Amino acid sequence: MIDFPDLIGFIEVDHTADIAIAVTGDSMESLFLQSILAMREIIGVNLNKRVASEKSLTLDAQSAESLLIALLNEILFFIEKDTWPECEKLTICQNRLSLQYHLFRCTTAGAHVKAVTYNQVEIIRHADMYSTMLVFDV
Amino acid sequence: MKITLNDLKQISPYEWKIEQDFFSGMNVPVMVFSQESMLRENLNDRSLLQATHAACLPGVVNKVCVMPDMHQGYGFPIGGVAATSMDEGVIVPGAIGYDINCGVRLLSSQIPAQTIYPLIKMLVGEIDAACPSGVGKSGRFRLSHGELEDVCKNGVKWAARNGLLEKDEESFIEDRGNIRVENTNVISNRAFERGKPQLGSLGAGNHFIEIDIVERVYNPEIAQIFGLHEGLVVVQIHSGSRGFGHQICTDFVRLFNDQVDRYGFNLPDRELACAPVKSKLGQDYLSAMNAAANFAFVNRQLLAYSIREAFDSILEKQGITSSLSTVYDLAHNIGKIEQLKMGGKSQQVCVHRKGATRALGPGNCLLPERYTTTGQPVLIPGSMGTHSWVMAGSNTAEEKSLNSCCHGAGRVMSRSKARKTISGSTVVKELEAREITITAGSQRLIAEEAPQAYKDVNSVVNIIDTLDIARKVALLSPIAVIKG
Repeated sequence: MIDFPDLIGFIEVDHTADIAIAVTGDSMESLFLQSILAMREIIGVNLNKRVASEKSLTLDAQSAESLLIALLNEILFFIEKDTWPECEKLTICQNRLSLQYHLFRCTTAGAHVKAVTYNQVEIIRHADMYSTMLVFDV
Repeated sequence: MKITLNDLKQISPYEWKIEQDFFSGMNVPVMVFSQESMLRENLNDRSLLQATHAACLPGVVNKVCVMPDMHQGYGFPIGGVAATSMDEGVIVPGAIGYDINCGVRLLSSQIPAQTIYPLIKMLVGEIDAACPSGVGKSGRFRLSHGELEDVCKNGVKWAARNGLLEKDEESFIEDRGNIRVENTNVISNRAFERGKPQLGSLGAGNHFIEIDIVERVYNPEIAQIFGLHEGLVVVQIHSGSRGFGHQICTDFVRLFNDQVDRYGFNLPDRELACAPVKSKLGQDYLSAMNAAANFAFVNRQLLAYSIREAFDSILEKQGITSSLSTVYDLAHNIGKIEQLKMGGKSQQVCVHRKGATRALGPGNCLLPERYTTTGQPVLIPGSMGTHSWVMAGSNTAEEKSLNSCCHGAGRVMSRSKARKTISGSTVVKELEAREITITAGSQRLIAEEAPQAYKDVNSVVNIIDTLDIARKVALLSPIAVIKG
């Protein structure tokens, strides 16, 4: 049984080989934003100089879970280039996501995440909350 | 669902079985090669549950095997092996892993331990500089799109054409370092973009380069043929297909998930998303995965090239020749089409090995001529600062374990617990007290990869040896570790 956070946020869950987190949000957008914050904390991202303003990104997927995984893997690609997309606005409509962001140079001091996996990912809608598990391959 | 020891039927001291009727979706039983104390630890994570999920895969044949170094992975257990029928079976990117053809290469030398000890810090510095590490870090070799396509299609033949391969070295690489790739058009531009600057880089996490001494030879006849002698220096390289392989797996797991409804599979975990081996999607993935496997073979080849340069640079100043020869290079995260004898019948199958090593016995036609009588070298690195093993494949492995063996010690402690309970600086001090030099990207990584976070590799190897899946050849003892 996984203990999800009572409030909006994320907590690390024991995983032998990789890093697992339980995430909650009060809306789908909030869940996605908390997932981004969780990954940022795991990787230990430190922002440096802003290199671009008001950029945007659009992603489509066949399910909300696929959309979340696609977004986090997209952000991993930014990190591989020593940059971080600081989110300004995130909207989700029918498995289409739009992200407006400012791009920052960054350094990292945490875990080396290779990929975001589909393992145990299932976005569940509760009465007033959304939750999911995420497993990061490290 | 929770699995308990009562759900496992003990066949022998080191063999346990979860019957096919354990739950209704299982198509084959699960064979677990382990001892009771290790099993009790594994019952604390999801590894055995994941093995039963693998037994539900469409077209899985014979049995799912789990090695003694097993631990929880994402979807499919690390240390797991599953073979699927070519006609009715599926291929599963998540049962191969994101680091496609993560594997190990062993280099032997004629350098005595006493010669290397006074030079070890200089040597480690030189290797560390020549083999960049960390996620996304670029290697020494930056390729154009066309050159990387050449690597994908031709594997280490590309290295040979560029003067980066020793004479006949490809014979001592699994599949001669060149797996057939039908089509590179199925690989995304992003994978190419990530892969172009990364050849010759070590990567991060549990990847490493380790300088060892052959501490003890257990089988002198085979060790002689492998080129291993007590007291001499050897080098292990543990790395894979870097961002190129990660991107290919990411791309295809998404594609497979998008199409999973099309095939009507009822899967216990989305990370086990799969497609029929013979479908277009299955064949496209095979092409892309094989390309990533070739990338990884070349990556370890270029790391070996850089290590040779580092040895030459330090040792030649002392008037010492340092030729390093490849004993063997093998994959432990891969899917392969193989002919296997199962239940007395030979069948062509797609074997998924995730954290498991191929282990061919003597006489197998895929072995290089030099190893025809010995069986395949099986390389089993231990955890940081502990022993590693060289074993030789046995003919018992084909029926017993789908021609497969363990791949290392196997984690026993979660990374979060390791970070909370182990101090990286203490680990470094302990290793230095044992005259083991270590360099790593962070203290956090050292804590996560500390020996206490892993099983005892000697116990793991004893199980494999007793079951005659592979036989002990030589014990290696570390003197320097360069962590990714």
